[in-house]
Order: sequence, then structure tokens, then C-alpha cells
Amino acid sequence: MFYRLASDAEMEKRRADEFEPGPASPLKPVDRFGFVKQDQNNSLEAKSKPTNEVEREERRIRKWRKMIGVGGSDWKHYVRRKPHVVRRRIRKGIPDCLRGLVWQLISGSRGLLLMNPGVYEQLVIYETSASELDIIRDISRTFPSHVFFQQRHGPGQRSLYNVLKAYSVYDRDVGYVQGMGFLAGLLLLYMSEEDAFWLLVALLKGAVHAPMEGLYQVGLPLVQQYLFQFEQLVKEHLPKLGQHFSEEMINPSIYASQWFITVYSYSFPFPLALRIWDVFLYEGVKIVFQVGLALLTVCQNNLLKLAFEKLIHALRNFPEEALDPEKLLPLAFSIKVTKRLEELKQEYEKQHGISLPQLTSSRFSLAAPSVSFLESANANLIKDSVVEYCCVAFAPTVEEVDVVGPLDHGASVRHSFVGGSVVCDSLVDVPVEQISPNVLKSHILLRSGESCLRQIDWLDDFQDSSCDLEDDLGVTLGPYRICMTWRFLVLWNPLSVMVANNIDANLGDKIFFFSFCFRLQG
Amino acid sequence: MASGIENKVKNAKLVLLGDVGTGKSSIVLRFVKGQFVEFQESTIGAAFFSQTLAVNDETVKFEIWDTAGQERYHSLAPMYYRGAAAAIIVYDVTNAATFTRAKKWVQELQAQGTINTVMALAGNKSDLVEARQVTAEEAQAYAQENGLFFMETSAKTAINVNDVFYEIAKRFLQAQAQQQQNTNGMILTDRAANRTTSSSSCCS
Ligand SMILES: Nc1nc2c(ncn2[C@@H]2O[C@H](COP(=O)(O)OP(=O)(O)OP(=O)(O)O)[C@@H](O)[C@H]2O)c(=O)[nH]1
Ligand SMILES: [Mg+2]
Repeated sequence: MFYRLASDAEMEKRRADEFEPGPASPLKPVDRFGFVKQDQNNSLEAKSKPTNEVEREERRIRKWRKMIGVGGSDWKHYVRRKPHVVRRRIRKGIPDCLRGLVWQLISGSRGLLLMNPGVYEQLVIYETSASELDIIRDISRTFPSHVFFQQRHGPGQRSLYNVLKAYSVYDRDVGYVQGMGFLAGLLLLYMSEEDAFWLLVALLKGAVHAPMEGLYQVGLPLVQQYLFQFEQLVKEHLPKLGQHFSEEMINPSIYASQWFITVYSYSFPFPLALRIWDVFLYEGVKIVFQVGLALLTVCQNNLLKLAFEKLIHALRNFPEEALDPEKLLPLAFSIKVTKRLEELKQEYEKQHGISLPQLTSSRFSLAAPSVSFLESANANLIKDSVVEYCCVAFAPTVEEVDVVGPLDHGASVRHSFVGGSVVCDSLVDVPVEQISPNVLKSHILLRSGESCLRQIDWLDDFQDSSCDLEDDLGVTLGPYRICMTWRFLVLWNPLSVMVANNIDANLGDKIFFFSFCFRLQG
Repeated sequence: MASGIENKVKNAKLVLLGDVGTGKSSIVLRFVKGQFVEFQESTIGAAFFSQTLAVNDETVKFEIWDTAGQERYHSLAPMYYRGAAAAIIVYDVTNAATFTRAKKWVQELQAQGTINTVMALAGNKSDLVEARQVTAEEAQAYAQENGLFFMETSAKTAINVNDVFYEIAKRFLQAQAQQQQNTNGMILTDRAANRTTSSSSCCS
């Protein structure tokens, strides 16, 4: 199975098809998301919506369509102009019919797909993976109650297999890990398998937010870190409960590891999981912490009364009321964690002797080599258009970076170039003021001492960017380090193509990256 | 259900270990709820259940940790088996590789040196007669050498599932009685054994 995502209409059609019970389950009733209904199902969605709610929903969809534009053409513009409106709307929930598209826009996966044409096909069809048997064994055990995945060797199971296999080849260090299936399964309900694959890549490799591959690497390093952070946050936000937990010898690894490993896609009500994912893809992993804290807050009074065993039971079976997204999410948003998460992360890294070079040197397997990247970018450029790119590179010598040749198709090229020399383990601190707008434009800023790269959104103008930065990162502007340029821009539409790429040419202990931005003006 | 005077209910932490898909969750589900599902969701991290079992005039309350089988989750396992009074190591009789993995678990537990852990080896899916790859004799011999007790089980047909837990409970009580004599009240589980509870509960 290998199909390409196209228009919204097609997506909707495809999704509509999925709602029809497949041959494997001719009579089972399913909910609006395609899960086979449990007998005692009497949840909210069983009731049909009143007309005014339907109208409201339609209005909302119209608003969203306007915001996105045809195939996502206006989205970037909108996000840049009104990031807070976008955030607010996403927090209210992305309309289900647009979810797949918007997820791809906000996760940076569209850019990856564009930059790597044919790669997915190659991974699925020609490569073999050591994990194939492991994946097959788990396929029928992933969302077994969803009609799309129920049919043996049906389209759902096949695409799930393909995505997981492709990823296990793409990142052989991670391979296949149980839990990834739930992520992939969730995505597959909203997009084609190739799109789902690139979204998985975007998440795990960190196209927009910090990479999450550590969730699945040997030793589950990121799970351990998140659990450490979460435990501290519980103690700080809910001191009584934190105290109770330690008396009862309950730590978050007992109840919260799945929350992080599958981002609530495992054993949480699907409507809630979707709403969390909307925010997760736009704002990053902090929502996972916020939702966890909100859940504990809602149930605190009850939890305080329970001893060990009942406590564990309660922590894994939250009451239905507590899981209502309309109540839980607003509470989650109100819990401020960004700053503490940063600090706790540093604390954790200090305790565990994790240093910057280690973390960074393993993360550059993402991009295709420059040549093929340029070729693929070329293929997408329209003849005789103006291409503007800026390239930022850090390399042993600036000269080594200058490998960019002219583009074909008669496209004219203007470029700005900023170069610098950076050795990985002694990154130069660059005060924000000294970074030229060009650099800032396309690049990641890394806060001094912070070991993980934080990306900022595409910034058009330096002045504005400083406030955005503060907002987006929730940190005050201090000395920033530019560590690498790594920006995957979304292909909005053929007339405004922006692509970025990074290249890993690991030159001994020196690391060499660069990034391009193409803006095609039609 | 055995009434169990308060002080006779003994808590025992039990952990299930074994390769992916050998049927750990299915065994627990069978024991705790008497159910079996054809497509059991894979376990992420671990799941917790509890169930009481009456043995003569005593009651054992199992706190059961059902772990994820995949090697990558190995780093979480020690948290679950640490301080466990009992362990069931599960392999799939239709898959020889899972038996090899079971032996590794045995070694690991032995190396950890929790002498008081009652260990059981369960060859699950015994209902799949035609696909068998590991003989009962082979497993029995291995179990004997290593001081485990061995049973072939089927979560699907329920054969021997309750028996494994019953046998564990018996041995656990024996071991505890012995301990009591030796050290006068040392606690075997990692937590105080005097928690009060009655019904079974589970979660996954
Ligand atoms: N025929 C047969 N199938 C079984 C038996 N026990 C489990 N299964 C099936 O084997 C598959 C895996 O069972 P699980 O109980 O999920 O295995 P697990 O050991 O918990 O696996 P992980 O959680 O992934 O480590 C499921 O599809 C079960 O239906 C059995 O006794 N007989
Ligand atoms: Mg399991």
C-alpha cells in the first residue's frame, strides 16, 4: 500500500470510508473515531449534537479553512502574523476534518516529505529491517479495537507495518520499539502512510521541537529524564500529593511512563488523546507534563485517601469526568511549567553527567545529503522564478561550506551567506545582538548551557523576533548559542517554497552544518 | 473468597517477566478476571493488578506487575522485580527464542540475589500443540537445575494458570514461615505486609 495524500476532499473521503465497518467487522457499531463501541458505551458522543452546536462547528471549520488556505498556502503567513490566535485556536481543538493537514503543517513533516522524495518508498520496498518480525508480532496488538486496524492484513495493518518498518530502517539505532505503533496508528487515522512516516521522523528527530528519539533509544534516556522532571513538578505543584506518593512509595515511573512513551495515545480516551496531540505538535512536550499535573490535580482529593494498591489502580483508571478535554485542558494550560522544565532538565543532566557534545553528535542523521537535497529542491522550483536563499554554516573553515552551485531551470539565485567557525565541544557564545537577522531568520537558537536545541519559528524580522522568542521559549533572552541550523520549513504551496536542510559532515570533532532557505517568488 | 483475618493476609509482590507476546498479560488477565482476548494490546511500560488467593487458612494478596516484554524496556524492569517475593518467567512453547530469553531472565534474577524470590517458569500457549518448539522435558530439566518450579500453561484455555499462582502462594507462605522462624518477623516484600484490602482490582 502506498498512496499519496492529496486534497482535503480526498482525505475526507478516505476517512469517511474508514468509518464504514470493514469486512472483518460487519455489524459492530463504531464511534465517530472508528473504535468499536464497548457495550456500556454511553459517552457524550453517543448523543447527537444539537443544531446550534453543529452550526458552531461549521463556523469553526470555515474559520480554520480561511486560516490555512488552499492546501496550507496561507498558514505560514497566518502563524507569523498571529501566533497567539493560532495557539488559541489549536488549544480549542483542530477540526477533525482538517486535523491531518494541520498536524503536518505544525510538525514540520511536510518539509521533510518534500525534501526527501522517494525516500519513504525506498525504505518500504527495498530495505530490510531486523525488526520486521517484531513489528509483525505487534501489528494486530495495536489499537485492536479500531476498525481500521482490525482486519488481518487489511489496509490499516499494512500501512502500520510499512510505517514502522520504514522507521526502523531509517533510524537503525532506534529500530522498532513497542509504543511507536500507537503513535503511528494515531497518525495513520489522519493521514497517508508516507505523511505519517515523516511526521514520526519530525517528532523523533526534532524538526520543530526538541527531538524525542530518546524515548525509544536503548536505556530510554528521555523517558528517565521526563519522569525525573515530572516527579519534581508533582512535588512542587501538589506538595501534599507528592508527600503522599513518597509515603506510599509511588513514583511516576509506576503510572506515567506510558504517558510519555506514547503521548497519551495508549489507554486514554481517543477524543482526549487527539486534543492533546493538537497542542503537543504545536507547543511541544510540555503539554504532556501539564496534562499529567492537571489529572493529578483533578483527582487529588481522592488520591490522597488511597493507599498503595488502590492508588496505583486509581492512577491508571481515571474517572471519565476527569478525562473530559473541555475541563482538563483549560486546567492543563493554566499550569505553568516551561521554565521549571528547563531548569529540571539541566539539573537532571548535571546529575547524570550528560554533556552537550554527546547529545548533539548523534542527532544529525536526518537530512539527505546536500546534493540530492538540492536536486530535489530543484525539481520543485518553477522555471524562471527568483530563488532567494540564505545559508548559514558553521564549519572548520568558511570556504568548505561554499558548495552551493547555481540552480537549474534558469532560476536566478540571490544569496546571503553568513559563516562562522564552530567546534562542537567549545561552542562559541554569540550574544543575540550580534547575530545578524539573516542568521536569526533561519536558525535555531540554543540557550547558553542548554544541551538541547530549541528551535524558534521562522522569523521575518529581528526586532519582532526577540519578543517572540521570549514568548515561545518562556525564557528570558540571555546569551544564545547558535549551534546549528536546522530548520525544516514547510512547503506551503508551489509558489512559496521554503526548504531548509541540514547536513552532517562530521569532520572529526568538528561538526559542519548548514541550512538553506529557498523562497520562490512566482 | 476466604475471609482471612486481617493479620493473615499476606502481601506478595509478584512480577511477570518474559519475551514479547509470550502471554504475560493474558496469563494475568485470565487469573484476575477469568478472561482471554485474542488480540491483547502490547504492554507499554508495565501494568499493575492485584488478586487475592486463599491457601488453607491463609490468604495471599498478590500485587502483580505485568511488565513489557521488549528488550528495549529492560531498563525499566529492575524497578518492577526489585523486592519481588515471586516471579513468573513466561516463555511461549511455540517459539524457542522466547525460551532462551526466559533463561536470561532467570540468570538476571539469580544474579540479583533475591534469595527469597519464589520463581516459576511458565511455558505458555500449550494449547498450540502443532506449533510446539520447546518440549516440556527440556524446560522441566532446566527448571530443576535452577530451582524453579515449572508448568505449562494456556491463558487461552485456562489450563494451569490458576495453578501456577496457587503453587507460588503456597511456596511463598512456606518460605515466609521459615523466615519467621529464623529471623523473627523479617519482611519479605519491599513494603509492609499489613495493608488492608479485600477485593481484587486490576488495571492495564
Ligand atoms: N493460543 C494462545 N494464544 C495466547 C495464549 N496466551 C496469549 N496468547 C496470545 O498471544 C498474544 C500475546 O499475548 P500477551 O498476553 O499480550 O503477551 P505479553 O507477554 O503480555 O506481551 P507484551 O506485553 O508485548 O510483552 C495475544 O494475541 C494473545 O491472544 C495462549 O495461552 N494460547
Ligand atoms: Mg503484555
